[in-house]
Amino acid sequence: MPTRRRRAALALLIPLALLAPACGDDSGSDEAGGGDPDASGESIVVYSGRDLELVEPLFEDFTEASGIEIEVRDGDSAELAAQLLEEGDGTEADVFFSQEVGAIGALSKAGLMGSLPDEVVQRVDERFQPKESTDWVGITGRSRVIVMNPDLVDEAPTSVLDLTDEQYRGQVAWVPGNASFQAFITAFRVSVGEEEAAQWLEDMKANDAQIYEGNTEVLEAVNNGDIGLGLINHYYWARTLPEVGGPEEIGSDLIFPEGDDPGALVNATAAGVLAGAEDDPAALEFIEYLLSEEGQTYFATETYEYPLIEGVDDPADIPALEELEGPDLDLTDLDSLEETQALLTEAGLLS
Amino acid sequence: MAATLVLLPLTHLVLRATEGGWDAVEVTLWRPRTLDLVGRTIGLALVVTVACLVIGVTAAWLVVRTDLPGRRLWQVVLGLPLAVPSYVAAFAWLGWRPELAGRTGATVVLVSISYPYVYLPVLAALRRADPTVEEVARSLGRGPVAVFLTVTLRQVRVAAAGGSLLVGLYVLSDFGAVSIMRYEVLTTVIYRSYRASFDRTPAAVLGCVLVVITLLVVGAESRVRRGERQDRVGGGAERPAAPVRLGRWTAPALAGLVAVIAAALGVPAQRIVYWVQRGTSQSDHADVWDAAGSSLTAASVGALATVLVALPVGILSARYAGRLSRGVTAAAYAGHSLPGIVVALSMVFFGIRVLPSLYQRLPVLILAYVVLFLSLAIGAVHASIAQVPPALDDVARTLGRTQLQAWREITLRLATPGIGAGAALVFLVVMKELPATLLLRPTGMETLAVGMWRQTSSAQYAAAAPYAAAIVVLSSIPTAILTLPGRRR
Amino acid sequence: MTEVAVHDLTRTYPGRPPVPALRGVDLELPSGSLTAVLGPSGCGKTTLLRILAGFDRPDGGTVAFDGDEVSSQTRALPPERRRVGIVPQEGALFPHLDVGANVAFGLPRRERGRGRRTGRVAEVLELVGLSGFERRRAHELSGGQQQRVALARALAPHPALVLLDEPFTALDAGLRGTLRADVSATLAAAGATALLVTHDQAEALSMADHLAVMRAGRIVQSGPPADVYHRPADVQVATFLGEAVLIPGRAGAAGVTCALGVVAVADDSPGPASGDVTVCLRPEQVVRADDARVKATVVHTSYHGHDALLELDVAGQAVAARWASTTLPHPGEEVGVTVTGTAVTFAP
Repeated sequence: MPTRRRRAALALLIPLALLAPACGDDSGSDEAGGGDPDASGESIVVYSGRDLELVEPLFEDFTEASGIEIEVRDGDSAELAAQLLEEGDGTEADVFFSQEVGAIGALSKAGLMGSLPDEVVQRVDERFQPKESTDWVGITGRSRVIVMNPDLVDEAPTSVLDLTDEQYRGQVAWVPGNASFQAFITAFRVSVGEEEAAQWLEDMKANDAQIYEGNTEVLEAVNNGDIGLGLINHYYWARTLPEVGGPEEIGSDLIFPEGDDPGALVNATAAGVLAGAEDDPAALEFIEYLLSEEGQTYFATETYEYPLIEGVDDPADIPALEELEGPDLDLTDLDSLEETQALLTEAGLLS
Repeated sequence: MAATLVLLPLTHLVLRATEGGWDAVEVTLWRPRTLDLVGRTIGLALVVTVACLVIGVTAAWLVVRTDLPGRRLWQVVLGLPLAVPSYVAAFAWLGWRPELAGRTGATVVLVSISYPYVYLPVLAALRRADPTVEEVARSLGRGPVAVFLTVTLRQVRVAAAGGSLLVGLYVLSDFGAVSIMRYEVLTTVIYRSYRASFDRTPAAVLGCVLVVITLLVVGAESRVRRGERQDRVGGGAERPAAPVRLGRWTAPALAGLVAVIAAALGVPAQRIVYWVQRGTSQSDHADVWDAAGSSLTAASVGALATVLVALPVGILSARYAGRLSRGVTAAAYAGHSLPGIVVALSMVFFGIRVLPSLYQRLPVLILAYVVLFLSLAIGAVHASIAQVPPALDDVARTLGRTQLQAWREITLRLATPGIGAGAALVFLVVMKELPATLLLRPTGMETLAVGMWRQTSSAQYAAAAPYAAAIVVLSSIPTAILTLPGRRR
Repeated sequence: MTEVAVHDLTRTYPGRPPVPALRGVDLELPSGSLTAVLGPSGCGKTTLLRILAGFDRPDGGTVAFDGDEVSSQTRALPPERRRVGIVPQEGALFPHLDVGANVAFGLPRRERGRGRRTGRVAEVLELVGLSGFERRRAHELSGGQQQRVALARALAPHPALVLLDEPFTALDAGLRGTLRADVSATLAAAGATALLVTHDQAEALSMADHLAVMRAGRIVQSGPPADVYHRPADVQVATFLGEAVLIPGRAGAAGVTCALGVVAVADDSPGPASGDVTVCLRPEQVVRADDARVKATVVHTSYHGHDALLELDVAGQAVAARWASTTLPHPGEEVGVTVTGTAVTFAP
């Protein structure tokens, strides 16, 4: 029967037919790999832990302004850090732009980051500089917040310490696997104390805090009324406003804890050059562009993050960066991530 | 070569697990939490596998052996849920029924998208099986249900066992459904460990635990398979079975199938439409088209390469079962059960050291797909080659063909539809693959899965919807091919 | 036409313990003859066939086609260069090809094209009685037709030797009978040297010009079928080839004295010339003679249509007899019996 044969042919043909463009692609990338892009100084490879959709226009502006092409690989910051750790010295990356200080700090510890000029690092507020090296520099600020659905919560908490209260039983969503959350716990340990942090975690667990996979899911659950409270970063809320049609529609409010509450931590996104690109002027030029007025303004208006240099306005609808106090600590103290991991593991929140 | 490839992730895993010293391994291993996780993981895999077995076998029987209305259409439709990525299904279910989060939700999602792994091979086996045996059983006074339970089930045992193995391994390796449904199992913890800590020992140790579980599962399945060869006896002409009359059971049977399809296809479809309507974020159509092109490229080349590597292994294991082919097959299954990120990181490690010029180019990404999905292709090659009687080769040789010519003209020719089905299956899973693609794709290449990940990770659900829809639609084509009747023996 | 000589062939399969399949097999296949190798399953006959076809290699001994050595421990001509045709169990037709393409498969490439292959293909299909079946598919044929096609396929390239591997076992009894006759006629018409491997003694006896009985890796007896049937080399061969009467007797110069009287002994009988022996007769040699001195009591009759097998009691000895079914005695009846032809004797 001919139909039978045709069917068999079809099953093989589809992949075959598509092989042709594949081969084309392949040879194309080989070509690209043939020349060393660094040598000409006209192209850099950026490993970006930032949401590409949000930073791509900025990268394009940079290319237009400087003539330097950017090859971006995007991914989760920690996954990219894991990838960079596996790649070691062989990496093609020139710049790592991380979502949080922890990931870049780990690479700095492993000796994979190159130094930045002091002058560049000092452009930002002291809070957002590394303490003992110049391996990275803070680019934007992101505040921890409590997101609340007013329909489900009678009395708004003012501190993360309130969340262990009986009235919030089963009403708090958190993301123990999330890097920002872990930075917050690290801040808790460093600023309040190891035992207090451990106790708080135990109490939260006892109060039936709900584990979520990501901040986006937490925010959505709070907005939908699935849960009353969540621990997230401020910009998740701010950038969802246009998605849902404004602050009236989102169904939740933000609480910025006051004083030295560890829940008021302001963390930073950070960037640095890889050891192999330490002397590459193009890589440095890119970092400087991120810290320029155009770059900082872009973050404030497009990603709703806090700019870190003087003279650029903070994002609308949220308190100014100066008003945020946060725990008394140095961001470099947040690289004691392993101890936090151990603590979370002991509490049964991580393996 | 196949052996070297599949051993890469395992080698890397052991390397990473032991780099912190044996003490660190023991700390992770003897933690009460580890035992708890192993229990949850095995429990979930068991429940999902059993549910998939029941749904898959029943559905296949209904559409092949009964007078169910519209059974031709059902045959194809019931395979389609395989095209739905677990993360899409999980997102959709969670959006629709948030209270299902946890074990129930993870189970529902995993069953709804992975029962076709059982349904498809059983469908093929039923089409092949000799209906005479069932008729004899009927004539001996057994009712249709009793015949189904005693005779029919025996005939599809091997196919069902093979399918269950795939389901089990899929559940072990799945990250999307369990993470979105917030049910902690080994994979979620491995991912989190890699993401949140830069100490890779615990993740690697748990990865090893996962490998051990896999090898046990594979061993159990091969026990079921052993000594089982179902040949139609006698040389008489084959004829189709007279369909079982469902009578008053028609409505419940239809309702059951509708429920399965509603759960597996309806919920994701409804959610995709909902996202599009609700959100204001938009994706660029050109981007989606580009991503679809990249996905098709990656999936086709991946499928082709995987099948090519699987050919010698499948041939060896089908014809000259030996230690080497058994070892490679077991290692390939282990690769399949490992979370994508584990395999991806091992390919990063070896790729940049061994093939630096190809690293983050298509070839290394394709190699990662081969490692991840080789077991699917080996299974298909093995099954389709084992069905060709070796006597055909012998005859061809006496008629003047060399061994190679005989292979080409007879065995491979006859096994082609089955091997093609294997390629279609690999195509499908590559289409949905995310973690390895994310790490290893050529810089600038964006597949549908990557596009969807990017949009959802920044909560742009409306923009993610076209990517999700494109994945499902494009994956439906190979899935439909998988449900078409193959060669009649 | 080719003469095949098998000399002292041995083959042992590795394992723990090693499995000896052939322990020194000698066999001559005269040119143009049909030789049957008969033996129970596991006797080594399939191994012999596979070595002849070139699929397996002997540990010792040789196989020669017309004096040219094709198999030995050191050398094995590959199957595709031996010009051996094979008819496997259940035919093994190529399911993706139609009958014509199956038959043409072994023809030289230039004769294989659809238009040109008609000559030889039609010729052999006619030989097996399937003219006009070229466009049919394997699954559209009955079991018997599939076997005929398999035979036609094997014969098409004018093979030096045709190997038939239990080709009729999967068929029903009625079909088997006619097919056997047709196949031996076809092989004779084609003038092919052929080897039939079977465990069915009726098949071997009815088809072969030459019969070799195989047991535990050795040929225990060979010769024309009638000779082997009537003068078996030992008790096992006797019973394997069909019903046998085995009773004690005493050999002497005049013949052997037993319950059935004094019976003449075949010239080359393996038993001793005098003293106690086991007497071996075929049931059809025990005939009814109402006036005979030897009396037998009928214990049981089993009716076979054309004849019947009777179980007789002769002076306390159980004796089987095959008589025409026209006038059969009833159980319990006493009849006179006598023996025609000669008996074979074995050492007791």
